[in-house]
Amino acid sequence: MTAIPHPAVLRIACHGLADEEVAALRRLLGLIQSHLPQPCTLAERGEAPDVLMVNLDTNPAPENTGSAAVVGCSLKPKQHPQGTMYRPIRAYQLLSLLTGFVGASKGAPTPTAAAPAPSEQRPVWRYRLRVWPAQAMDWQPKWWMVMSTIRSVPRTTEEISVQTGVAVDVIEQCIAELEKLGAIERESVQVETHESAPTPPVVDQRWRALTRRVGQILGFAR
Amino acid sequence: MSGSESYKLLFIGEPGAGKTTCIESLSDIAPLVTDVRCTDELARLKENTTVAFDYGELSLGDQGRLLLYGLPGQSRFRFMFDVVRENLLGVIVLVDAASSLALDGLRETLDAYESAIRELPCVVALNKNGKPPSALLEGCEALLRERGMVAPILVADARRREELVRMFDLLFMMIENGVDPKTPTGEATWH
Ligand SMILES: Nc1nc2c(ncn2[C@@H]2O[C@H](COP(=O)(O)OP(=O)(O)OP(=O)(O)O)[C@@H](O)[C@H]2O)c(=O)[nH]1
Ligand SMILES: [Mg+2]
Repeated sequence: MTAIPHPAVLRIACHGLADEEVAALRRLLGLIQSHLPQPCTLAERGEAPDVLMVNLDTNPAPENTGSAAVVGCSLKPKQHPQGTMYRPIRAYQLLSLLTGFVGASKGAPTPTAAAPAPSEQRPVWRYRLRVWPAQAMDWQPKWWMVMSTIRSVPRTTEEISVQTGVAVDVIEQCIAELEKLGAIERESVQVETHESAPTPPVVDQRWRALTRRVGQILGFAR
Repeated sequence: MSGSESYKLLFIGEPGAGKTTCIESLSDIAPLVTDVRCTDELARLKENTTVAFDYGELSLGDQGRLLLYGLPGQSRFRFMFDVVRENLLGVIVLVDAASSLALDGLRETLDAYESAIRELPCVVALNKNGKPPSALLEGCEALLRERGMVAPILVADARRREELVRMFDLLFMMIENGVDPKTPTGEATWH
């Protein structure tokens, strides 16, 4: 197991991805940037990447990848080695890849890599709040943040994490407490195929900017 | 985002619940308050009451303005809601937690503004009693649960800005995180 390297800026190169997929990856990186342990960017032409994202549907893994960790992605990740990510890239997978560790050996001929897709390990649930329990007024603000994201939209723990930046273990503690109080409902998510995989959450920058401004004026931090 | 944009927040609740007080605590312009001296049976409870609505503003600099409206919770004033509905971001329901009829007041407000409270981010704030009895908290939770409304309940002294700030923090968490990700960008809808 080799950890994703932690240089000052982590550079990602793409192999075999269409221009619009690269553009989408760039946008996703922007969205999750504030939740990452170090800045991540797409490698410019000629720059040596730290991570090489390979489209396994159109390309075999390249022979010589230098020191880059290789991460495969595919429309059907299950037909590839464990750890292959979904294509189009999902925000929650990218987040766990870049914050966590990869299983790829440097220079390995076949792509392994990546945090395994949650579907391959355990059932994935989407949660939705049914009631906001009165005792939650004394809970920590991180739990409020978690509850805010599932007040009207059902979400998985990974989606909540991308939306809020709250760590998955904190989210799970909050959900366990809500389940004890009968305040939450859940539905299972089918992640077998590309079509039914969870949609990556969209962080609406307009409301985020407005919230930040109101917080500056009134004195609550975000 | 242009500086001319304006967003609205609505304070609703029974007479004496603290709507005028909240807006006075938050507004950075002199609030427009349409209070008159009480002449009817309310006079035994309080000196002034708001006959139309309260209005205040919070400037957001280059991001526009936050307009603060206070409307009575009783259903006979419900028509005034149409005036403020556009660009409404969220609702704060105030409860006079010192009143023995607090739950009746909350029930009337929830019923009068049912669709807004269901669709928009909403906080229920218990005012005028820093330590409300647990029966009142449970009663508020039950009224919301019966109506399928998912809204946090907080204790907040409307005269103290810092307590209102905590309430705003929570309300804006819901505003920031409550947009349906399937909605095309720019067309935010609330559930
Ligand atoms: N002790 C205490 N008094 C409060 C609090 N909030 C408001 N008050 C007082 O309660 C009275 C009524 O508050 P208002 O803000 O006028 O209530 P309102 O909801 O605007 O009432 P109407 O205009 O009649 O609908 C005022 O005298 C306030 O000073 C509080 O948190 N604690
Ligand atoms: Mg008033």
